Amino acid sequence: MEKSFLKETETNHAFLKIIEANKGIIYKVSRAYCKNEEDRKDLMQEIIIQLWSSLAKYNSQYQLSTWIYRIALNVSITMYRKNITRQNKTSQLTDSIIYFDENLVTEKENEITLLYQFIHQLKVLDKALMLLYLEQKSYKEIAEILDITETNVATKLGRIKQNIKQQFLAHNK
Amino acid sequence: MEDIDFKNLWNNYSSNLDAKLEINFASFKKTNVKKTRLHLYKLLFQRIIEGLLFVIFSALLAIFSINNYTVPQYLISGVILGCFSTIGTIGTFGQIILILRLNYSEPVTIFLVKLEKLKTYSLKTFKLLFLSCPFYFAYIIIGFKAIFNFDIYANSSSSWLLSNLVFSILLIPISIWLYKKLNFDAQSNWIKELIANNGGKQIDSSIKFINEIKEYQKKDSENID
Repeated sequence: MEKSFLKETETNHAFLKIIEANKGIIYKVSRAYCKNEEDRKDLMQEIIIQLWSSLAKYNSQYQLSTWIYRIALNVSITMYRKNITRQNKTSQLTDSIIYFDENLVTEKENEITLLYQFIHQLKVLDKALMLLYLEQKSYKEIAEILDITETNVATKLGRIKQNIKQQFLAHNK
Repeated sequence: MEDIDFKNLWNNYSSNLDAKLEINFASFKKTNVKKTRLHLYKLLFQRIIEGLLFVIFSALLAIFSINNYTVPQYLISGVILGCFSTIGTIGTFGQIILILRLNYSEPVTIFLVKLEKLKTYSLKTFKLLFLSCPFYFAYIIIGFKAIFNFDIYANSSSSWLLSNLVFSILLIPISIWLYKKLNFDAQSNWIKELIANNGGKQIDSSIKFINEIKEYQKKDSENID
């Protein structure tokens, strides 16, 4: 009994360390798929719980970040594929597991908001692709996370980047 | 804005982000883990209800066949419909296992196709119904016996029975053709309409999404400039 409790405590501790180290990934994926702040809180909670539920199935042949991206993207696309707000569908969360301090705004916040705005306009799988590209993932890793070929990654990214660049230029005119 | 600027902008944002994000441990401890799988529970619940209905139907057919095993028309009808019902039961319980085994850490397109295919399972039940159409007379025989305790086979004229047999044979190629046509890659508009009208918007939306993913995966070399 005591042994299993200790093991459980160790697992909880290890999991919280994983979340602490990768909270940025969870936040960025959630923000890419949810415009609404309340929905985002809901989504972040769903991702964290799904990470917790999948922990036992973690395959160490993959990088931890690859595993987190797959789960975060799968949960996000499953929940927000149709760009609907879920506020009326699930109970409102009083607290978010990941809290974002709005007071610490960076100087480039407007450009980031604009970039997110353009990402929101992309199709669900293109969003994932662009996000992984921005996150410095190699074409090989992106291909592994999405299960498409590297050639496909390169082709699609070229088109998406061109599209976003044009939107930035049009906005700055 | 050049490509590299996107990345620089994002890097700068990412490096500052950690300082702005805090984990609320108290909220994490309060979280109900089961809540997250709500959308899967709904799917699971639908399949369990379907599975139970198939089990009940199969059991009733088995009882009917056993009780009437001396009357060939009842035994044959019961066995034919029992086969369809058993296929339905096995298929539905197979779906339940697949839902329970769904792994969120699989590659995105693989996971999404699996999930959406699970949502379209009702289409397979619908196809099974089509495949059983040539055996409609078995439903009539069992129905009359079960509801009116009347043997329609023994009390019908041979010409009426023959016309039903001919009609059943004619239905075989039509049923097989429809069975093959009702799939994710359906091209004809009326087939698409049939799927949408009988499976609801959910199936229609899932089929569209599966096709979108397949298209996304195959747009390889054809798009290279």
